[in-house]
Amino acid sequence: MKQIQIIVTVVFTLLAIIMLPVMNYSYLYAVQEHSLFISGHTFMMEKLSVPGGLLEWIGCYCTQFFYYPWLGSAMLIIIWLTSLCVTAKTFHLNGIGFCVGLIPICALLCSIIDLGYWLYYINNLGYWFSESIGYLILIISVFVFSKLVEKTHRLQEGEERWRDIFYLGCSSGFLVVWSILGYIAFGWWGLLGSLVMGIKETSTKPSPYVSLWILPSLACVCVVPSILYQFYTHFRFDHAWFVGFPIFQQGNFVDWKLSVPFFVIIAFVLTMAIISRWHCMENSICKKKSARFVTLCVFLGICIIIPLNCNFSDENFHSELRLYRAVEECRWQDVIDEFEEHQDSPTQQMVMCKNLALINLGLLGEKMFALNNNGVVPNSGKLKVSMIVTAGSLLYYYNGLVNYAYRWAIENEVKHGLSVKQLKMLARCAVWKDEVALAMKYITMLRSTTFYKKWAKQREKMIANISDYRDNPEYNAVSPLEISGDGELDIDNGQCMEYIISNYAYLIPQNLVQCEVAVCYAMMLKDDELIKYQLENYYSRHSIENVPKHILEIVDIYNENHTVGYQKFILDYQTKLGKGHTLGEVGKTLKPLYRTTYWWYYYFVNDFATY
Amino acid sequence: MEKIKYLVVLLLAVCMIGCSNNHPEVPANYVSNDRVPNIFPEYTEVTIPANIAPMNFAVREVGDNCVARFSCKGRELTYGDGKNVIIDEDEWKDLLAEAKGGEIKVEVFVHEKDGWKAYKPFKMYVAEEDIDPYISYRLIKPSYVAYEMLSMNQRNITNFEEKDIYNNKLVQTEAVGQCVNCHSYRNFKTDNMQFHMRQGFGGTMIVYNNSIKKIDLKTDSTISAGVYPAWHPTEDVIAYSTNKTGQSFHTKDKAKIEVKDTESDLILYDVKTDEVSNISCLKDELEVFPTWDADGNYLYFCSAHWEYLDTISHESEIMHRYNEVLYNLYRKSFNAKTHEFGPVELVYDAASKHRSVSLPRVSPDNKYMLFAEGDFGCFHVWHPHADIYIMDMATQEVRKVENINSSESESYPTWSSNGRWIMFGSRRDDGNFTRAYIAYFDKHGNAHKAFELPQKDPNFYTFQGRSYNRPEFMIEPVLITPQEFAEVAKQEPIHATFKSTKVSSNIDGSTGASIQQINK
Repeated sequence: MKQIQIIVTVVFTLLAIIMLPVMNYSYLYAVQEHSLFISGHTFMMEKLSVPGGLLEWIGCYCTQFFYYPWLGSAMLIIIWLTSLCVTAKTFHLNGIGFCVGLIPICALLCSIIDLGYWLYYINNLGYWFSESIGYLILIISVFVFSKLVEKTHRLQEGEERWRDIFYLGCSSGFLVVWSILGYIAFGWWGLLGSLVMGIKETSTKPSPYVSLWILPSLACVCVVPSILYQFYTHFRFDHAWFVGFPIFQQGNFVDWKLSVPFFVIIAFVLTMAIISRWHCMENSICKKKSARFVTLCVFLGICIIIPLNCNFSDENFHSELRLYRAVEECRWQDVIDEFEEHQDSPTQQMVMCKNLALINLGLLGEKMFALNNNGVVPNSGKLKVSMIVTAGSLLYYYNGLVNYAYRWAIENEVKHGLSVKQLKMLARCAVWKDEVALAMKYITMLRSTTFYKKWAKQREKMIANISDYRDNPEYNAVSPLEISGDGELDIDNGQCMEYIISNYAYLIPQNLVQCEVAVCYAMMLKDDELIKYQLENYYSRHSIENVPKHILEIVDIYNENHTVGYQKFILDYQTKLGKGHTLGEVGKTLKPLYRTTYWWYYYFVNDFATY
Repeated sequence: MEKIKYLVVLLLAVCMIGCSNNHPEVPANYVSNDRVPNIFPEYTEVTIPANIAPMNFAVREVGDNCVARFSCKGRELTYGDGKNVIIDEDEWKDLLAEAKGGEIKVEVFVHEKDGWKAYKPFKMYVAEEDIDPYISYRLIKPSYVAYEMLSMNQRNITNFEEKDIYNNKLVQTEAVGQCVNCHSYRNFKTDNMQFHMRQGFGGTMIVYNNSIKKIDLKTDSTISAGVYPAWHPTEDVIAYSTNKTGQSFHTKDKAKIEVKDTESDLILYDVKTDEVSNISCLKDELEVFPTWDADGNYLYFCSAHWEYLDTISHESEIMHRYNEVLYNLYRKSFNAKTHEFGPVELVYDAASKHRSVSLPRVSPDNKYMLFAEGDFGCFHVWHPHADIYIMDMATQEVRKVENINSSESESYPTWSSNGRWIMFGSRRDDGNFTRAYIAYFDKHGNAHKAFELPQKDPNFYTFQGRSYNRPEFMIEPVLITPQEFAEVAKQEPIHATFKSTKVSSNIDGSTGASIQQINK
């Protein structure tokens, strides 16, 4: 029977390793950037302002270890394996019954890898650990309670009545205290624990001492939240029983699919509580060896297939995460390399990152349209992904719109909680704007994290030594793009891509970099007047030699004497149109030949997705 | 039995250790430094009330340990734990009682690499007059448009107890957010108070003689529901501005955001009858920030003369001409018996100096008026150029208040009930987060150096990420619980009815100057 336990444990461990650091490395790194743990009283008290706050606080603490995705994954796997063992002990899952214990931990695995773009919208910043720890604590509490109650069962047979009463008191006290403290510290997990305790220990054969634990358990579950609600101000009364339960909501849209793992866990523990009094699942499931083997295979198969299906494997999503990291670290060539791997149908965020990299490599006029410049909307189902949430601050910052980068870091913090990512951006913006005291505030906060101390110290050095800052590649990336003068008052309506494009296209450029970017973004808008205006600006600063490819291509369109290449493009275009093809069909046909030219973009791309 | 004895002794020892105060020894050997230490919050040479919470601070000098010695009339207390100076509340109270009307000397010693260093001592002056024991404020992330979590809190400033008065999370849903703002009290008491809720479960919560009702102050004849409130000191009426407010964002300026009204008027709400009537609704005037004088005989308010050139998009026009909007200070007399207002009188012509006034507040003795003044606009909390100014009501002389302003934004000044303390919001800490600052205002009309609202953890403001908006003094706490407010918040509001009244106006439409000036 030990063999089954070993097989189950090994298979699950391998599965978790594959699903976490192997398949989701960049996602797990991003997870810790979208979370935050600050050591100290203020951060802790903020978390403790709701029931279950302690769990979120612990979750935040653990989540930071995804800084090294293998380390964070190892911690999670240890928690899950411990949960598996305690589950088996608590619900007497011996032999083949041990497989059943895979259900909750597989559900927890799924709950981590199925999030996808919800990563940007989740409000529980310790989610990736807090639910797993919540389950472990629940199951431990049920186990401890079972042990206490068990003593009263044993003693019924003896004469030592006072001991029975003592243990009965202990059990009752444990149930009440757990209900209160469990709710305060672990929110809905605490309440679920109380309920499971009651159901599990409710005997079908009433004994003189314990019979209907379900009654005090239900009373605790009903009463505790309604009383403790008076001491909290951070949730609605009707939510008191579900505080901390993972509900994925955006406006009126609730993605219940993502809550399924938790419904599965609830169903599992309640079911197990009811049936576990048969003591040994092994006997009740199957007795034949072959049947055991089949059961094991079926269970393992299901537990492998479901997580594989749940995994949010959208390539663009993962590529975006790698791109953001490369942009942040100013690894511009890596951005281009990553983009080229996924350039068939990139998202607009990817396109914007690519253009940023091209600007910094001095290749925008050369390659902007040669590399796919027409992105798609992210594949996120019914969740409406907004670029301002996923990449707004990053794109604004590196496009020289530092005020807007700061603004959206704050707005996203308000909506979705303060994360390392935002904190770093806020610090960057404050350093850039020479707001030293503000920068020091954010840097001090980052110094109180575990893995961003070094980053914070580097920024602190930059404040102290301006030449350090000037040597920084980040400074050199942002500096040429920042608008000169006092700027103006404007509104972006939450559309960062449109705003960045039109900001450049309508810019009065102040340097050669801005001139090239302005022409290219005017070309993206295909506004002839604007393009001509920006071409004038460009040629007023740039010699007529070494003009980038795309700028020559637009000049070719406007010139009366066209180059041979453009003449051929027009000939092909007119020939295909003459054969009765629609514009879309012509575009498709000519794409393999002309996709790297601006001409193709100019003639066939009539709109771009914004979100 | 023996075991029990040991257990009791152990417990007692733990209790004694827990209850004992850590009074570190002042170092015997040290090198003197001729400057005052760098401490946060900056509490050197401040004047404090005798009933304030301990002025805990962090020492921001290079070093690993510090000791601060507080001495007054032969009594000495020492504190220091690492780089923080956290004072025992009871001992602090005793010290303040002794120092009332006098001063506390503070010496700071810092342990550095090469030994202890003693910094130049500084003083905390303890005023004769106490401060109101409670203040309230809105805690808000310094966001622009989003408002996920907003709360109105009350703080007992004689200790560190802070409680929510109301929290939008009590009713808010994911789909419908709720903004809460503009808490206001009658005569510093909480039996008559109000605040607004917008968007989800919108309405104005009025506490009238300790009972709550929710009102919708928007009528067909007014441009919005009530916004900036002012309770009349004796009558059951509240003056409000009604505003159409918009926000836009600086692409480069440090101010980052401009909040501006495209339209605004003044209305009077009768708490007993739920009737609303106009106070001032001139076409080319943007009236805002009403406030009563101490007797309720005058309603003061700000108003900017504003003529749109473009009749199509006011929002767009005001966005481009935002720095041309200049607010003056006006007043109207008020007849408490008839509830009628007199003509408009110009009190302070800031516009002629290319300045702009907002948030006026008259002192409880009617001798002074505080307001925020900046280069333009009315939302000075975002304007680094905004400072606190004071007007001598007898002479109409206006001056910048010395000792309390900084290079960052100062706004929302308010008086304590005895008129001896001023509180205002300042962004001097970091330029981005508004914090409550308090300053003593002496009998000669001078303000003393302001101090930041003390916190138990001296590093609190570094790690806390919310602004203290609209700080207000209260002489008693709000006793209605947040949950009770939430229950009423969920109910349908009572709809106010509009009562037509004759509104007198004497503002010159072309210049904004009043025909009737106050006699100086």
